[in-house]
This record gives sequence, C-alpha cells and structure tokens, in this order.
Amino acid sequence: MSTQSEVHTTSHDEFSMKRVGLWIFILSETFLFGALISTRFYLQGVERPDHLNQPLGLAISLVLLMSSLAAFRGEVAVAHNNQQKFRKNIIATIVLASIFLIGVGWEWYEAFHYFPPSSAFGTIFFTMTGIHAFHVITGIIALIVIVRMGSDGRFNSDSHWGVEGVVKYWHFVDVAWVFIYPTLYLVN
Amino acid sequence: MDDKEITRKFRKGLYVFIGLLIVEVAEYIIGVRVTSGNFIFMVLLAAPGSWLIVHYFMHIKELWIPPEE
Repeated sequence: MSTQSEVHTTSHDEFSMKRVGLWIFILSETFLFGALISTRFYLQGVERPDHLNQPLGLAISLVLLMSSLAAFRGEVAVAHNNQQKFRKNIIATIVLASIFLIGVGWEWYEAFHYFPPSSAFGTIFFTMTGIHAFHVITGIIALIVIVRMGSDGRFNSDSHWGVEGVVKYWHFVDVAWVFIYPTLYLVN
Repeated sequence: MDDKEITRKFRKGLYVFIGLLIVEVAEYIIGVRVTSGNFIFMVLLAAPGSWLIVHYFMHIKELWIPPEE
C-alpha cells in the first residue's frame, strides 16, 4: 500500500515526465523552423523584396504577442481555480489567433502578385508562413478543446496539465514567429 | 488572497508583454530605417524577445526546479 508521500512523489514525477516530453517535442519543432530559417539565408541571403507589407507584418506580430499574453493569463487563472477568467482569456487567445490568420491570408493575397511561389523568395515566404500558419491552426483547435473541457469542469488548480501543455505549445508558436518575422520582413 | 495572487501574476505578464512590444517595435524601426547590415541588430533583439517568452510564459525553469505547490 502506497504512503501519502509515495503517491505525492509519483504524481510529481508524472508531471515532470510530461513536461520533459513536451519540451522534447518543442525542441524537435525548433529544428524544423531552424531548418526553414537557414534555407531563407541559403537561397536568398539577406535580400528582401521591396513589396513586403511592413505595417501589416508588424500588426500581425503584435496580435500574436497579445494572444500569448491572453494564453498566459488563462493558464494563471486555471491554476488558481478561476474558471471564468480562464475561459475568457483562452477565448481571447482563439480570437486573436484567428485575426492573425486573417492577416497572414491578406499577406498571401498580396504576395502572390509580387513574389509568387515560383520565385526564390516566394518559395521561402509561402513555405515558412504556411508551415507556421498550420501550427497556428492546430494550436487554435487545441485551444478550443481545452475551452470545451474547461466548460465541463475538467480543470482545476490541482489538475490542469491539458491547459499547461496547450498554452506552452501556443507560446512556442509565438517564439517561432519572433524569429520568422525579422527573417522574412526586416533583415536587409 | 487568490485574487490578489492572480492580479500580481497578470501584472507580471503585462510587463513581459510590454517588453515584447518594445522589442518588436524596435525591430520594425531598425528593419525599415536601416537599409543594410541590420542582421546583427535583428539577432540582438530577437534573442531577448524569445527569452522573455521562454522564461516568463513557458516557465522553462520548471524542468529543473519543480513549481511551488
């Protein structure tokens, strides 16, 4: 029969393992984005086309940062058992992420005219933003899942690994964009 | 007590967000104004920006220091 401390230690070890596993996954994704960024500089050096929509690039970057703040607040709220603040902030994250995707869509619409996928910069631009957008979409789906689970009362201050995992993934998506944005838009 | 703790952490998050905002706007200004040779500035700005997120939002320290219960 397990003692109280053995049960506590097992629970703690379980969360440690989950965190390590998540960070290993994040590390693997870092290699993917690292390879894409390297490709940019290999194919195109530090040149950038004149027709990049700089204000739009900055605007969507700020929107993504705001979504990261909202996700952080959602995680803090559920860790303190505040279900209302958790739900509001995760929904805000989803809304901001959707606005980001609309912005990327507008960028693509403009980019097709000036640097289509057949051009060197176009290949890089559409591949990097496309793969990043795919991560955003999967992140939105995961955020919707945790909102639904939260509404069913599945998370509380003692048990919210689902929220922690999804929010960490979301922050990684933001970190990736912190590097992608200057790589595509600003380096010269 | 919990509400105070939440407010304190929310404020910390806001400060991190403001830091990220400053980094992004600085990158934008340098990227648009500096017409050549700005690669090093981008690296010097992107690195601390990502550190802010990885340290304060992603709590990477929890990998070796367990969170307080």
